[in-house]
Amino acid sequence: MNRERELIDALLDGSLTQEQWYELSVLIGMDTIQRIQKGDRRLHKYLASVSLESGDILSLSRAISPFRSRNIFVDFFSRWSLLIGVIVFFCAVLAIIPKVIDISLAQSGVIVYNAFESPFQVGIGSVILLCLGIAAWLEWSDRI
Amino acid sequence: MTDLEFRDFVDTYRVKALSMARRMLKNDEDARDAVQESFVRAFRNMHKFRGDASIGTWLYRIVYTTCLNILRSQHRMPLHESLNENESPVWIEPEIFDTIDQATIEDILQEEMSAMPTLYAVVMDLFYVQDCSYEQIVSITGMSLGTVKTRLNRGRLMLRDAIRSRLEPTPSFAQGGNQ
Repeated sequence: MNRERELIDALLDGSLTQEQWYELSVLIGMDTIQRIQKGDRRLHKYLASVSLESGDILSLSRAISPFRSRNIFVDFFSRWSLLIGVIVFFCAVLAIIPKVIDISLAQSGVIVYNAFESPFQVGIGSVILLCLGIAAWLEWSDRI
Repeated sequence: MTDLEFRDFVDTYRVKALSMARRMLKNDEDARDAVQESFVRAFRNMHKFRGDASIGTWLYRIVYTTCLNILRSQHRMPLHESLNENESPVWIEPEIFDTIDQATIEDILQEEMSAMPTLYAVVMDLFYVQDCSYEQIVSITGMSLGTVKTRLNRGRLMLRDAIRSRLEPTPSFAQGGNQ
């Protein structure tokens, strides 16, 4: 029974050798082999017919264009909008800090210190750039 | 590959790739996006194609992966159930196609293929529409050979039962020689 199953599988796959063909014909008869083949050919024909109709709707220029669909932008922003929002917020906060320091120090008569020369600020900037880089890489890299 | 060669490549495979994506995603718009994304990936990664498999098999693998990514992003990942890999082969009697008119059979097959679970439908599509062998389907989907055969058998069984259900019961079909 196992052998018969194996041979019918090979018959359906189209990989039956001549020797196996004779072996299978002894097991199930030539008439059954022909019916299996005929039924499978007809199923093949019908499935190809229903699956491939009205399929020619892709335009080549759209297919190979990186801007092929607006969905890619929608997807990008829906996926990364929170991160982008947080980054923009941090940038805004960071932009305000030196102004605040500048104003408060000017009022107290102390020499103004440029906050953007601080290693802390440079570190924050690097982290933001790193986050943006990772986000861009995740979105655009090919994960095949 | 030159742009002209790539154009030929797209022309050759776009319809079949779309059929495969439709079977997986069950949605025309998503399927079109998936195929376009697959061709972009193929274009960008053409230098990675080593010729181990046919270029069609390579493209179908990209389409399969792209569709899985879309299903994952939509939280619609198909479940991999455990299968009995020793089921008897199922085949469809040729006479069954003569008992109903062609348009009705096409309607039945279209409905059943659309309703079929994703992993069955894609294996059926690869075998019957893309003309892939068992080994190629294994290479494209990463399923085991036994799983591919079982899914094909069950897919054929679903289609056969759907056609039979539209027929008047007759002794010859009721006593089918297989499962």
